[in-house]
Amino acid sequence: MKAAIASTFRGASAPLSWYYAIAVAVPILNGAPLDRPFLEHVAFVLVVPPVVVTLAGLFRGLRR
Amino acid sequence: MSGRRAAVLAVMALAMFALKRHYSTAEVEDLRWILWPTSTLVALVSGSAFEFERGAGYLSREHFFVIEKSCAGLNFMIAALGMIGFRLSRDAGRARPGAWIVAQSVAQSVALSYAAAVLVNTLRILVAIWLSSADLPSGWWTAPRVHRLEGIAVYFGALMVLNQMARAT
Repeated sequence: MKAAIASTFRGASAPLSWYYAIAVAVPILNGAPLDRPFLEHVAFVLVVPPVVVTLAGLFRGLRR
Repeated sequence: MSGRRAAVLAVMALAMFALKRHYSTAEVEDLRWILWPTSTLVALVSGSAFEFERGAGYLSREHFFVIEKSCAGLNFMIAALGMIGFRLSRDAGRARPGAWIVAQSVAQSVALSYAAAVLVNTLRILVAIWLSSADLPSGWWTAPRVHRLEGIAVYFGALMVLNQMARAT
């Protein structure tokens, strides 16, 4: 199971990088105010994708 | 890095910059090129009519739901364009000589990212409409937070699927 999750994370490096770049890095570089609503948005963006990858890895592991 | 790959990446970066700039200054009327197909598909699948309201977006009176500027899926399209373009630029770099391969890679990336943005956004909005009627919010999990969680999960999941498809081709 661990191997399936690790492999899914390796395969998800491109979508993770692009999503973090567009949803977090670009707004910060554009001067988005680092207020509470934006920081909450950043927290969601940072946390949800790894959860999705982990669930996809678990699904792959169970199918094997 | 081959010249062709560098050319594809440069054109792609320019396209992403232009899209981001357009999105930051556009009114909802300027985004009908992506909002109209999305709202039409949502209306087809949900069976509810969406009418265009100036300054607001596409409104469903039945669901009390507006497909507005922030619902356009432009950021997803930009991320998908970068990801697909980067992948296709590798093939362009390895291909036989010919300037057409640069134009082909760019056109494919733009078309795929646009189609993906419309389809994925349609799915996201359909799920959002369903969630809004499911009475899920409670305590800290307010309706905007549930909406945000769903949006990130759908958009990011779709990027993963697109990445798999791009790798498989």
